[in-house]
Amino acid sequence: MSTVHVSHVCKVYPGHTGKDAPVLALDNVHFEVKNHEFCSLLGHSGCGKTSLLNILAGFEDATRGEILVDDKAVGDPTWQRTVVFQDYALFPWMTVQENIGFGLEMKKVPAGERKKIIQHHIELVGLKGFEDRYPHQLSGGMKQRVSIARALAVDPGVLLMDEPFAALDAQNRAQMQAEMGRLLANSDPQKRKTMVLVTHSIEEALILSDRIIVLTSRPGRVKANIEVNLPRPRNEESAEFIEMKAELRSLLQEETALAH
Amino acid sequence: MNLTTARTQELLVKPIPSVMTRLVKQLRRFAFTAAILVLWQYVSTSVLDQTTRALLPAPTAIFPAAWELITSGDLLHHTLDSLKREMLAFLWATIAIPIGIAMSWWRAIEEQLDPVMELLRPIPPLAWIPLSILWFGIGDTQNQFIIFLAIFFPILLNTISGVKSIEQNLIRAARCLGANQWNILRRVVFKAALPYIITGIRIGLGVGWMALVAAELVGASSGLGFLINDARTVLRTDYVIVGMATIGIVGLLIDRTIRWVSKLFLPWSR
Repeated sequence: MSTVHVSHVCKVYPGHTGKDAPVLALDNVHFEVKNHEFCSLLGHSGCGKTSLLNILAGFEDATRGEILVDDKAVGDPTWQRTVVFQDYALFPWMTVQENIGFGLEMKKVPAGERKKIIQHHIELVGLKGFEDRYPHQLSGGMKQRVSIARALAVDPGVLLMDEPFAALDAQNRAQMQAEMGRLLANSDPQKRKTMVLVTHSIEEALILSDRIIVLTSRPGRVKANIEVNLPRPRNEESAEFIEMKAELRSLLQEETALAH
Repeated sequence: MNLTTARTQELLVKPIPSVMTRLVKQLRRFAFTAAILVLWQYVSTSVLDQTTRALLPAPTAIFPAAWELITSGDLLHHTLDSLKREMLAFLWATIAIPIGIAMSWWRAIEEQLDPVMELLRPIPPLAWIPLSILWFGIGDTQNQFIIFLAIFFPILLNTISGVKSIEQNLIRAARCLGANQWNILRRVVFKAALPYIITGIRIGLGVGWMALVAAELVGASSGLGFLINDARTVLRTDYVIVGMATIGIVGLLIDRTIRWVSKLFLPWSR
């Protein structure tokens, strides 16, 4: 439960000495995510949205500018900003419940309480009965559920998601998006975590977000900052939804045209 | 049981082959082995004469020799001596695991240690035998030193490649879940590298076992290497062959044990 203030962030990747030129990935990116807000970073691949997420998590440093979470500049990674990765990044040697409990162990939560929190999150993501499975025994969708549960279990202020459903097949992806949408709709808006989602899917962004930041391609700049005030859960058939979808599509298409 | 599982069961049922067919199948695998034994027996009893036969005793003469060595307890005692050396040297060589992890985790350590390791690594463990006899004399310490060298490098190299092949996101995940450096190394890096480390141990123990026997040939007063060399001096070729067979069998058993242990401890790696 935190506010995120991305303040004039620039990122330059130096490039390999002598071989290729430095790359400007992010140029003066500036926006704010309010407390309890679900914010999507929407853009084509290579627009620097994942770099931005990495800076937000503390995995990389901004070349210029800074990111403030609750008015404090982000430093090293902490459990206050957990990440859900596209490739799940589950620990293959840990069972489902050990994976979900890892962050709690690091936080030194006592065993009894840990068990309760793990159980609660296993139920939340619908993995009851799979507690003792290893990741390689799970489908992609189930792995991502574990990963989400693991990130939520430590009770972070901000949940960061890097294309969490991109590796799933179309059917699973749609199901996970809808489920996540329902989960958000059923949760108390004042208790929701602040979330930042990196995606290239317009539908995904619209189903889940309160705010969509559209980024330009190479370098990434904020092209549009759109508030989504549609009722939850989102109705994909509604006129407003379809209208916003068209608007976002034309914004992204401009970027595709520019890139070529 | 619902209908689907019943159907699955039904489809899984295969006609059971008769006892005879299975027996024939099992025996067929050993046809070539049997042919070699027959040829060996023939050469030893019908081609070689009384004096040269001592160079290649027939298989039928090996079994009594083996029995003698087993009942006298000599075989067991030499085998245990060799195994003890191998295991002690292995315990020392596990120091390669933390060294390997440190080398692949901290740039400065790799920078300093890498040249030393690269210089030492190509020297075969057996090349250390003369110097090590001068240093440690003949006996356990010298033997263990040779095996240590043989086991150390495979474990080190595999640990390093294990750590270097860890998915970056696993470490990132651990960091954002609040793990400190020590916990990352212990709970994530070590665990992720473990399948590689165990491969290193398997290779190391195999190489070590070979080096051990060689070391015992020249620098020991017990052990399987000593046994076969000692038997040679009195031309007991049957004992030599029994010793060689034991070395082979024990080597195989060590390898199988590691494989079994790794399956037991690494249920996640298929």
